[in-house]
Amino acid sequence: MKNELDQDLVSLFAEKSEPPQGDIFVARVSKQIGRRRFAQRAKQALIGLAGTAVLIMLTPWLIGLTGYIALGTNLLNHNIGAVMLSPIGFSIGGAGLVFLLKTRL
Amino acid sequence: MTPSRTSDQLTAAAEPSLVALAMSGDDKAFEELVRRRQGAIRGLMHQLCGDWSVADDFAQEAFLRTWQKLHTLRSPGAFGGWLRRIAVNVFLQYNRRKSLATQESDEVESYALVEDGDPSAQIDLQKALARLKPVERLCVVLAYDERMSHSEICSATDLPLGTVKSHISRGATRLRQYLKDYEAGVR
Repeated sequence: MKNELDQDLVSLFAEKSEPPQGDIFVARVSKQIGRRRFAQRAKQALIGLAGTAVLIMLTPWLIGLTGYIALGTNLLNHNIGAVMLSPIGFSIGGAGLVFLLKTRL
Repeated sequence: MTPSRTSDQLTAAAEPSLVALAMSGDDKAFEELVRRRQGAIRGLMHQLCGDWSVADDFAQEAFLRTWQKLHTLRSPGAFGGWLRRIAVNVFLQYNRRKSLATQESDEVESYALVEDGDPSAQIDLQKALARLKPVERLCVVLAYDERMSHSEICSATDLPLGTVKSHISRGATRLRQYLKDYEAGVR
């Protein structure tokens, strides 16, 4: 639904002057967009570089960590019986039994 | 990477296609959109602030915001209305900041008065518009210049329907009175 408007005012508004030199304005906006696009790309490149640097610095630590995880997993998977029958296994089991009995009493 | 298109292809392309290209990161397509829409947005801003250089600054800000938020546009077909809404927001935000800074409602703030001595009706209209409050002026310009309906003005300005209607009605009455005064030579 359109508004009921004063037609004299409508025709007066219709006589408005045209904006000057559109090409200059378009070039101005394009230049600003170019600058912002450059800043955007520079920011992305910096974030990428920072990520790579952090990854490079953490690599030895990550390799060590994965080594330890692999060792622990291997031990649990293949030598679980040996662990349980070892003095350490006995002491852990004994301590657990004592704790259980104490809490139940 | 978007394939490069010639300027002739872009000039001949339909607006929704250009919007879709611009949304995918083609800056040349956006430049073509600016070329097509700059007259309307600069004209609107000129009616709102009365000075071409200020209007160009506002219009540039509107286009830059549009470029930044282009990924949030849901339908390429709605680009025109969306751009106009952003332009209106630029004007409203400027006025809000200005009124917060001055803490007073000067009726001619944000509107550059044109020089005296030019007898044309357009100059009278601009002077009369300058005497309206910014929000009143915005509603009158959107209704009379942009030929938007009340509901379209509501959604563009985030003002309630009743407020929009009263701004248009009061603004138009005052505008007629000012124009009558100018015709009678009371300046």
